[in-house]
Amino acid sequence: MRKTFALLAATTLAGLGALLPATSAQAESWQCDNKWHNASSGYFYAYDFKNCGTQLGRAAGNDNDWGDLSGNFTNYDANQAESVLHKGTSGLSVAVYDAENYGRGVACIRKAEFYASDLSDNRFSTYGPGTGRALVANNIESHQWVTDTYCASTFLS
Amino acid sequence: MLGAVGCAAEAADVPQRADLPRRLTHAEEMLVDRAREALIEKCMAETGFTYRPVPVASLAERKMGGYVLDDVTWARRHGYGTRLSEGLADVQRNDPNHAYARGLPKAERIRYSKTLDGDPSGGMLTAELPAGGTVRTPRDSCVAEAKGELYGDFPAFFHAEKAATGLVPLYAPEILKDRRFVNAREEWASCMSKRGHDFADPAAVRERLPQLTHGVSRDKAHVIEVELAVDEAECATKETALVRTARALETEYVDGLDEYRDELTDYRRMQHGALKRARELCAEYACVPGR
Repeated sequence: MRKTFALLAATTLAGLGALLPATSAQAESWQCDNKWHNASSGYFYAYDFKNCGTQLGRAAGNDNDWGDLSGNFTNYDANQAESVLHKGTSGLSVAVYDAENYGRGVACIRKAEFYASDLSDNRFSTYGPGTGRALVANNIESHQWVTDTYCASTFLS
Repeated sequence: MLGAVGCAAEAADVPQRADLPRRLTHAEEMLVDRAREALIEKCMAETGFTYRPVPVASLAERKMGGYVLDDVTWARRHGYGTRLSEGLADVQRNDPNHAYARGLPKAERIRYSKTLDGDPSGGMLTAELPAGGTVRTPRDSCVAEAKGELYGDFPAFFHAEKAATGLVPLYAPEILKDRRFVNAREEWASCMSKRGHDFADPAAVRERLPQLTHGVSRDKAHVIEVELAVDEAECATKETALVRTARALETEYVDGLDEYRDELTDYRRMQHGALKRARELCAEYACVPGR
C-alpha cells in the first residue's frame, strides 16, 4: 500500500543510507537482546512493535514490496514495523526503504549494531527542497541486503 | 570476482584534500576486508568454532549507490546494479556459516553468536553520528578483535569511522541546493531528454525503472536497464559536467566540515595502517579472495 504524503515529490539519494541511530530505549532493550540471542543465523527480522515485539516476518533474501502477497513480508506488513534486527552475514547491511522497489528514503542497519529497538526516533535519508524526512517507524515498504560501503557512501559512488 | 570495473579512475575520483590522508581505493578496501575475514576465522578457531571467511564485496559491488552513475563501463555491464543486488542476497542466503550456526546445540549456538558478534547485553561502545543520534557496537567479539588488530585501536576506530562515514547527510542537501549543481543537473536532464528520456534528476530514473521493466523477461529487463544507465552515465560524464561538478562540490563541502577534520584524519590514517597490516597478513596467510 502506497503512502501518499508530501514526500512523494522528494529527491531521494537511494545510495546514501544513513545508519539507524540508537535511541535511549535501545540501550535498555532486554527484549531485543533476548530476540537477538534466539534469532536464527542468516535472517533479517522486523517487528510490529518497538523492543522487538510481535514478529512481522523474517527474510534471508530481499523483498521489494512488503505490501504485496509475495516475498517474506506480505500485505499487512507494509508500514507496520517499529523495530528491526539483523542477524545475517558479516560485511552486509540491511537497507530499509519507505517506498516499494527500494525507493525514496533509505536507512541502514549493520550487523555489528544488532538491532534498532525503536524506529520512532529514526528518519530515512531523504533530501529535497521543502521536504521533511520521513520517520522509519511504520513506514518501511521494502528492504534489501547491501554492502556496508553502500551505507557509508560518499555523494558519488 | 566480478572484475576491476572503474578501478583505474578511482583514486583520482574520490574527494581529496592536501592535508588529509587519501581515501583508500576500493581495491585496497577489499584487501583490508579479506584480512578481517582471515582474522575472524583465526579468532573463532581459538574458541573452538569453525568460521568460513565470507568472500568480500567485489569492486563492482562497491561502486553501487551514489547520486548518479559516474562510470560508463560499469553502467554498460551492470545497468543500475539490479543483478548485483540480487547476487548480494544470494551471498547472504548461501553463507555456510549460517547453516553451521543453526546446526549447533542451543547453548553452543548462543556462545557462537556471542563469540563472533558479541553480546548486546555486554559491554558496548557508543559513537555519536554527525546527523544526530548514536550507534552502539560490542566492545568484545571476534569481529571487534579482528578490527582491533587491523586498525590498532578498535574503540578509537569505531568513533572515527562513525563520524567520517556519516557526513553525507550534512552536506548532500547543500550540494543539491548549490546553483552550480542545479545548473549541471539541468544540463544533464536536457541531455537525457535529447536521448528520449524525460527525467528531472537521476533519482527520478531509479523511481521509474521498476515500471519500465515490469512484465518483461529478465533478459529484456536487463537490456532496458543497461540502455538507460549508459545514457545516464554518458550524459553525466561526457556530455555535461554533472559528475565533475558534484565531485568538486563534494570536496569543497567536505573541506568545510572543520569540526570533523580530526575524525576524518584519524579514520583515513587508521585505514592506511590497516592496509599495511592487511598486506603483511595476506602475504603470510591465504586470505579468501573477493567475490
